[in-house]
Amino acid sequence: MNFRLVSTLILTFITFSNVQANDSFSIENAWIREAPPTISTLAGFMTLHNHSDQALIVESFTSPDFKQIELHKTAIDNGVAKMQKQGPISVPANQSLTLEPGGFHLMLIDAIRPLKVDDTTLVTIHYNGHKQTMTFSVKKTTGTPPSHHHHHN
Amino acid sequence: MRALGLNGAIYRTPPLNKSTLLSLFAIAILALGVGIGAQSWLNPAPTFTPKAITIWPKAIRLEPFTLTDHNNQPFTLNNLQEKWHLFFLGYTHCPDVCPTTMLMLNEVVQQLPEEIQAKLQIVFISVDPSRDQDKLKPYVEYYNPQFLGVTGQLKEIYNITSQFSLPIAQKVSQDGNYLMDHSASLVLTSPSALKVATFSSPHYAPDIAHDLSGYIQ
Ligand SMILES: [Cu+2]
Repeated sequence: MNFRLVSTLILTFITFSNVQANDSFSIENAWIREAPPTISTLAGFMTLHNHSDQALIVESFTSPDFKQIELHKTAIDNGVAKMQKQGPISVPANQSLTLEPGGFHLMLIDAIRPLKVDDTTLVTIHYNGHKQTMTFSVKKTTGTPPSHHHHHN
Repeated sequence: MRALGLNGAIYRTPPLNKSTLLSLFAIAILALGVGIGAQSWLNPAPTFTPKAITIWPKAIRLEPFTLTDHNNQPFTLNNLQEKWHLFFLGYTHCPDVCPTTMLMLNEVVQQLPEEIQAKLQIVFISVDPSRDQDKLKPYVEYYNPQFLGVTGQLKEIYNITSQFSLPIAQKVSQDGNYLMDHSASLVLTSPSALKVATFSSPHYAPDIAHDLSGYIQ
């Protein structure tokens, strides 16, 4: 059996609803927050599930629509908002990593074309020496992410 | 009157005559005036149960500053008169915290009664003037056409942010790009240009709208 052909086949993403998957991991809810006109630095979010029995080492990201992509983490440190650039990140076997507003995000730098709500862009994830391209869709959101809702009286 | 000096010498103060008394009185009045000018007033206690607001025990009078708004009009201490102003610091190359806060501020405004909305101006201060000068207008108007974006020389930005006690810092990376660390707090000024309150993050629009409705008369 031609091993290369098999690996090519299994690396082809199966896309259904908002889940994109290959044999080792899946991506859920991959979205980019729409930015105001003229603004070319955007943020991308997703949940990455590692279904495999080995660590998923996410090395870098590339996209034809952005000059550069970095993985960042937002931290509020003593009331000061900071973005911290992350190096390669490891998602342990059978665990997930969520990128969401106020936490990890893809820092999408220097958009080559304007991206509006419902546009899509391709982002390639470089992991464990492999590549996988996935689709992100541009969305508009409100200011209060669901996970940050709280109530006190 | 006699007083014993530190070295044991006896100092003699001359008796107070009428003109000395008058000048002392004048100095006292002057000192009182300067005191008010540079200092603060007691802030009235809130008549509601605060959910997010931190009201400063004393309202702080602000020193002059010179910024420019997104329509290229001067934005100075005088512009703080007549309305309440709620300030947020940020920069347009900030794709996470800043958009979240701007969207949140728009929610706050939508949740305020109309008469309160009319008394409040939301102001975005860009702490990255070199990259944001030309982007301020489309940026703030995207979130709400009534929002005002202001920026200026770094010296003047530091002038106002330090008066607001909001820290900012530039973080340069190896590739020459930079990020701005900036306070995530909001600062409220009164129509007499006094700094009166702060909202610390995390921000929750209904709580902020609740407190602004209670505090702004
Ligand atoms: Cu970032």
